[in-house]
Amino acid sequence: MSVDQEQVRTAVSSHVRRRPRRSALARERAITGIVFVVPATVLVTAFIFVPLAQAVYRSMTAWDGVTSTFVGLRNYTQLLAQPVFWQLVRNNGLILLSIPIGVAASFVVAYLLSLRIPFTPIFRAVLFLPAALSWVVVALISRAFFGPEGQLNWLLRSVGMAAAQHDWLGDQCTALIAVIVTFTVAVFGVNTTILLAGMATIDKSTIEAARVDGAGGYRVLRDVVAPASAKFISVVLLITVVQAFTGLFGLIYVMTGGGPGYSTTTLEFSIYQFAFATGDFGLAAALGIVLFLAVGAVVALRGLVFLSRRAR
Amino acid sequence: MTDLAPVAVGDSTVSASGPRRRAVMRPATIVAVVLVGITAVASLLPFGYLGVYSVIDQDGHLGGGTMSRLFQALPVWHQLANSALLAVGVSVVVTVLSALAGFAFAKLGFPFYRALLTAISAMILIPFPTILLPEYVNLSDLGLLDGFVGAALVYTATGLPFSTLLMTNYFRGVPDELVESGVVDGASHLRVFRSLLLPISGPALTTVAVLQFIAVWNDLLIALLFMPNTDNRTIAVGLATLAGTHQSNLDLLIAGSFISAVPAVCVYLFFNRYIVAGITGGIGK
Repeated sequence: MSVDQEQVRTAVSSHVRRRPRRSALARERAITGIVFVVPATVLVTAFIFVPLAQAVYRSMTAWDGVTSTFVGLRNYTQLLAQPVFWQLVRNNGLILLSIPIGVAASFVVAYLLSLRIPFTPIFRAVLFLPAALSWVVVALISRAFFGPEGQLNWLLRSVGMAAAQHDWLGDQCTALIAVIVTFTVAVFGVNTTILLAGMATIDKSTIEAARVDGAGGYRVLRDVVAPASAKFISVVLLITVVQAFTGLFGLIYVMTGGGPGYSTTTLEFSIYQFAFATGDFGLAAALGIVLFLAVGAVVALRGLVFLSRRAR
Repeated sequence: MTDLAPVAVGDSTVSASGPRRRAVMRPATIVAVVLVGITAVASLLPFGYLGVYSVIDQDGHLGGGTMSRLFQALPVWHQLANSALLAVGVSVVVTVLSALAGFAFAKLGFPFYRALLTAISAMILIPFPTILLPEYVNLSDLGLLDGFVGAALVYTATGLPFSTLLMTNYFRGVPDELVESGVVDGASHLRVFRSLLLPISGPALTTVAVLQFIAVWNDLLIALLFMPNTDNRTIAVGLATLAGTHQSNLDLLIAGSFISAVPAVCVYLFFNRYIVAGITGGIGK
């Protein structure tokens, strides 16, 4: 039976709705839809959702890998009571604060590129290249750069600021800054590429109209390009935050090992430290859940900020 | 504003106001070029660093046999092959599954599809360290830690949420009429997917595949924890074993990092054109 006949028949019999629910077409569509999502759904459920649920349960137990006893929220209260925990939170917070700055810089550079200045195609290709490097490699290079005999100190010497030389990675105050700078520089290319891609979708005529009205580069940036890029800025912020909170193990491990002290240990890194150093897997699981909640909270906050922006 | 599948935007040089205008060499332009130029140079620095330090020895002379020592310390080719097998395999599976799911979410509304899409998208926020331990225990119990399968499953599952979101947004940008025209002609939705949508999905599929490839190729953690068998080691893990003895092996580590970076960079450069269009379509307008 061809599709047309079926549609006519059911259209006649259900004159209220234009698209009949129970036609063979709609059924085939729904079934195909379900079949198409099943593989992805099964995999994600089995290997992400199930472990998550298990982690929630484990976070409320005292678990050493062999035996586990239910202890309720004791792990959490233990965590909150430790001053180290709050230093971890502070470290994550500092990293979080640096992200808008990095994204703003990316935005400016993306805008400059969108103006089709000379050499743009080369710049575009080159900018994204660091994304192909692993965090371990980035950390190695950065460690050499910030080291006592490294390039940063060498640079300072050569411009006559030898007194400013420092053991950047050995000092509790500056180590985290070094990590943050490394992170920001490393993700800069990816963020700029995404923002630039977004700017390419802006209707040229809108910009032309603004220029005709006498708007200079800055005004165009603020009133035309920025609002139009909102969705892309939102995505860039999201992936940068997620990366900062959950993907920096390699970077920190190779660059500073979390030290000196706990000055470069993030919540994420501490999970590995606690799990494998102390063997208290229940506590580690609790840390993991706290991390998850932290990510969720930041994302929710970001969502709220963008929602209110839209409403204006 | 058109909803048609995005083509490589930004490459046309004809502006709306007429024929191409020569770049005006105003002071502002020069400043802009310098500024962006600095960031471009900064982006190339890591590679220059790697390249240079891979071929000089302790005293700064060329040659130095660093590479040959690296190949003696590690089964480099074998580990590169392992990395390639894993990265390509996972990349293919993720691309296929996310394309299917993305199409279903975008065009084949079935009961509760919105809830499911939200749930899968939310998985992006779940930090891997959070599920690490239970994941390990599960795979261990299932006996999947012997070969590549365990790690491959974990890579695939963790890569799916973001990829599916990308594909869903991309397909949402494709006009419904395209699907309906195929259906009216009597084709099943599977046929429509294969013959009408896939051909125009190049950018999105490429983006997903390349991002996934790079992610798996560079990953250390999952490969380290979920493939304890030394035969199956990836290049990332191999280099990490070198890092264990720190200082003395730093040059080997850098040489190895350079070699390891080459395939990933090549893959990216090769598909560079499609990625911009893929990202644009994947985020939606």
